[in-house]
This record gives sequence, structure tokens and C-alpha cells, in this order.
Amino acid sequence: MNQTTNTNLTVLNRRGGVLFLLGLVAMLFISISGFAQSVSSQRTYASLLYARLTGTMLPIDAPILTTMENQINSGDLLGAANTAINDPANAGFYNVTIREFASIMSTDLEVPNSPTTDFVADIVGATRDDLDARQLLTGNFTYVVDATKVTTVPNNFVNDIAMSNNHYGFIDTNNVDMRANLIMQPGQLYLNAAKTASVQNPDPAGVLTTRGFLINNANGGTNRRMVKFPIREFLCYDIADYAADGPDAMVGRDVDRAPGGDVNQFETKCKTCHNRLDSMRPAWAQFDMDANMNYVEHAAFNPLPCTATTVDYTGNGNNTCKGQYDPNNVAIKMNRNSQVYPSGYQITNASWWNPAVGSTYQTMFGWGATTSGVGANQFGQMLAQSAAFPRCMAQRAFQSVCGRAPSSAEINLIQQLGQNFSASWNYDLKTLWAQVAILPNCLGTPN
Amino acid sequence: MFKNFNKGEIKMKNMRHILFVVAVLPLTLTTGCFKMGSLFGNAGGNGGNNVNLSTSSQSVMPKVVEGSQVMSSLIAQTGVTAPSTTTKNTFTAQASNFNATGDYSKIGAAWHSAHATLAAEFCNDAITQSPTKLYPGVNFTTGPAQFTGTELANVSNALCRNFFRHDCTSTELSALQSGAAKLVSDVNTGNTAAVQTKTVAIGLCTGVASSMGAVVH
Repeated sequence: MNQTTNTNLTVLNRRGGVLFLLGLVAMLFISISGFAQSVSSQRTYASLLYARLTGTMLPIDAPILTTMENQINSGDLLGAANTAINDPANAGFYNVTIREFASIMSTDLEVPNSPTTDFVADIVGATRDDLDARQLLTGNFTYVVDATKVTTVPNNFVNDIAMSNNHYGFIDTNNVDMRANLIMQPGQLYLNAAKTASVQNPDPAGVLTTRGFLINNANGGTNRRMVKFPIREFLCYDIADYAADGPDAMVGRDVDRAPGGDVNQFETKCKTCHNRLDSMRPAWAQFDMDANMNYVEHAAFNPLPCTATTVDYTGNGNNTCKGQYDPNNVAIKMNRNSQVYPSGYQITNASWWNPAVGSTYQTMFGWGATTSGVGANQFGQMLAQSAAFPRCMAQRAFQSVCGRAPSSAEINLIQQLGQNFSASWNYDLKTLWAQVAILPNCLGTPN
Repeated sequence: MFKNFNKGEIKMKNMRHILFVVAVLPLTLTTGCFKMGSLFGNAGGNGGNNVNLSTSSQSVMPKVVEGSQVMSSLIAQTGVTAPSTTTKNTFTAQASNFNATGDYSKIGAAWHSAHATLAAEFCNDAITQSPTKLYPGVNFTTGPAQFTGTELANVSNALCRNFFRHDCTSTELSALQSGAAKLVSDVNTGNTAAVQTKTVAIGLCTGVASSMGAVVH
């Protein structure tokens, strides 16, 4: 032993400074290598997968990445994605990823950081509980913060839920973990006519009939937005995509048939959108927001019928009968400005039909059995039954996880994802997100 | 920003030096994406359905850590499980400057400054809460001359693994060595040795923690 050591020392002395420098370099290298094991491509992939699904960036030595790395090494990419989604220490998938997905769909501007509402909470809760996503368009439930767990949440139904967003806004201001604290309640509660208690929404259509969605899309106007935006957000088609010539029998009385004296203007432009929207908007004939845009109204418990002799719902000073109903239990606003074209269609009930059902539009939307009906729930059923709905959810999941919209070359990929979402994955949003995240198109491959 | 230290203990020009040197991750902006809703156009376009989901591939679009996850990410990255009041207040003050959506194309100077400011506070907290995670082997009672050789390599690699999620590349290591040398040479020698060491440690950590490699995934 001593002889060997002496020999080495002799060598070191003989080669002097050069060896010393080489030794330093070697030490540095050994030090780096010995500090921790080098990072495998599978672990790097696990890190990216985790960050995209939860929004949280972890150090590469985080224990959960070891679990995910092992799953990836065994070929179980889906398991790795689910490990991230279900990380007991981090609910980012729900509080960030799904919350943003819901936020985008909740407002006209499609911003990912709009305030949490009942619309957003319903989607987060439904995802957590593995509900069939079609329930988001047809269901009769509401997610609220469990006040037995979060005792400080504003929880007065009249003041904090029906008349304001205090209850759900508390989630944002207090960073309430929605995965841990949301509970599902059966039914959807609206405010009674006396504004003192709750009554059940008689025509629930999942998140479409939430206060959060209605306050954005049924505040004033003529409820045409309640057709346009559900189709845009849940089927991913804007009105321009399906506007076309069609029957004008249900186009409202507030639409000028000759704007600027030009009949062609109506025939070639106005009518293309209005025949679509106006034929379906009666689904929302009995829904409105109150005059101050605070709470949802429904004809089943509407305030006193409007008795004004002249109804001019312009919203520009003469708000007579705003938020009120006519003798047919139709919201006054549905037939506003009737003097523009008195021969136009007057809505007298909630019956609607979808004129975009020709072969071109059937190819686009893939409608199911329901293309006409009465009221909001059946309108929601139409959307939920379409082939466009699961495809749209796949498209949105792709945008969410992959950080970009699908390219034109990925149309078939989205189509396949949509089919799998409906046929194989039971419309489960959690599964959809996991499956999208592990696509090579999305985050590459682990090898 | 460095509430616990005397004025002038950290020279911001050195901080900027580190910030720019360490931001080495190449990122590519991809264009030509389609707006949501128009993907399938108005003529169907749903095509065939014989797609193999496991074979096709495209480049990965980078995302930046979103404002709502900045704190949780830094907590995980630094091991600071109980951020100080100063750190929390810094986050609150900078909240509007963080990226709300993860959209890489929407970052700017205010965003980067916000990350650097908050990262500095976490790096400061880490000296007491998780020194072995970010600063392995550093003796915070002695002077900054220890930031050389093996000691510096160990600190550098700890920072790379926690923030970059990989071992330091030679480029990153070289940048950190240069930055450390600059910080050590310019540190205010009027301060105690311990403060000088903290100054260098926080400078190195902040440079890495606020660089693109640490906030882009």
C-alpha cells in the first residue's frame, strides 16, 4: 500500500503542475457526477409532463418525478400523467389547469384568469369527480365550497350566491383549494320572486344555466348570445363558420329586413346569421338577468308581468320592463324593438329548432338525435350529443397542455381524440387531459 | 429587495450580469397556429380517423410558469416551505407583472424583473430554511473565497438541478463560474465575511432562479 502511494506521489511530482491541473478538472467532473445522478431523458420528460399538467415546476430531484420516471421506464406514460394529475401534494391540475380551461369558456373574451364563478367551479368539480362531460351541458347540479371545511366562505344564498359572486370570488382571494373543498349539491338554485329564498331551476342545462355564464351572455340583449357562445365554447365553431342562407321564418321583429333601404343586405348578410341564432334562441326565452344584472330570472318564478303599454327595451334610458316577462312567460327582451319589422317572428314560447342540419353542417357538427326542442336543457342536449362537442374538448385540452392550438396538419389527430373521448374514455376530462399530454405531438417523447 | 442586508451589499450591476449570462436556454417561437374555433373551418374538415396517436410529432411549444403557480414553483424549487413575510409581500407587489396565461409570446421586461425580484427573496429565505438544498457545502460564517473549485461546482449543480431540472451543462457551469468570480471580486469588503458570502450566494441563486431555464417549461 505504502509503496503504491509513494509511486503515485512520485509520478505526481514528476509531472508537476500539468497533472495538478488535470486533477482539478477531474475533481470537478467527479464532484458534479457525484453530487447527484445524471438526469435521464425519461426524468426530464416526467418533469415537463408534470409542469404542463399542474403548472408547477419542480426540481429535478423531486420524489414524485422518481415515481413518474419509473412509470415511464415501464412504458406507462398514462400512469405517469395520472400521477401528476393526482399528486396529493399539489392540486395544480384542478386549481390552475382545469380552472383556466373553464375560465376561457366562461367569458366572451375567453380570458384564462377571469374570476372563479359557479360555471368554473362546476367544471373543476365535474372533472375531479369524473363526471361525464356531457353533464356540463345538461346536468342539474351545482358545486359550492364546503362551508364546513372553509368556515369563512361567504355562504348566504341570497347575498353571496344568487345576488353576487361573493361565494366563488372567495376562492380566488383566499386561494381555496377547489380539489379539496368543492362539494356537489343536487339541483340548481335560483332566487324566488320575493328575493328571499331559493327555488329550483326548472330547466337546468349544466353550466349553461349557471349565474356565471348567464351574467356574461344573458345580460340584456336578446339571448342570441346564449346560442352563439355555447356553440363557440363547447363545439368550437363561431357563428361565421355556420352562417348561411336559410329560412327567415323565426328571425325576430327587431331585425331590419332592408337596412339602409337595401333588401339584399338582409338577404345576403343579416339573414345568414339571424336564421341560425333566431331559430335557436327561443330555447332561452324564459331566462333573463334582473334589471341590475345581479341574479338569474326564470319565467317559472318571474317578477310581476310587464304592464307597460309600450315596451321599448333599448337599455338606453327607457328600461321599462327590463328583466320582466310578458303574458306568455317570455322575457320582454326577446321581442324588443318590435317596431323595426312588426311582421317578424314573435317568440311566444321556448320552442326552438336548429336550421343548420344540412349535410354540410351535419358533417361539421355531427348532430345527434336532438336538433329541436323546448327550452334550455334540450338545447344543451343537442350540443352534448354532437360529435363536435368531444372534438372541441379535445381541441381545448390540446391548447391547454401543449401550449398551442393544433395545426392544420393535426386535424385528424384532434378528430381521433374526440372520438376516443366519447367512445372510449367515457367523456372523462381527466382522462382526456392525460391522454393529450402524452401525445408525441404535444410534449415529444421520453426517449 | 434585500431587506436583511445593509444598503449596497449587493451590486445590481453584478446581478444583471448573472441574469443575462445564465439565460442560455434557446427558445423557439412557433407561428402559424390556428385560432380556436377555426380549426375545422366551415366545410367540415374532419377528415379520416385512422390516426395513430403515438407516432406523429411536432416541436414542443414552450410555456412560462403562470402567475398563479410562481409561488408554488419557487417553494418546490428552493425548498423554502414557509416564505418570509417580505417574500410574500414581494409576490403581492409583483403579482400583476407575472404571466397570467403561460403564453411565452407575452413576456417582457416587467415580467422578467418581477421574477428576479421574487427569486432573490426566495434565495435569501433559503439561506436559513434550506441551505443544503441550494447551497450545499457553503459555510455562511466565513468569507466568499469558498466560491471556487469543488465548492462552487457543487453549488452550481444544485442550482441547475433545482431550477433547470438537469445537471449544469458546460456552458451553464462556465457562466456561473464567471459570475461567481465577478461577484466575489466586487463584493463589498466593508461588510462582514458572512454577509459577503450571503451576497454572493443570493446573487448566484437569483441569476439561475430567474433565468429563462427556470421559468419556462
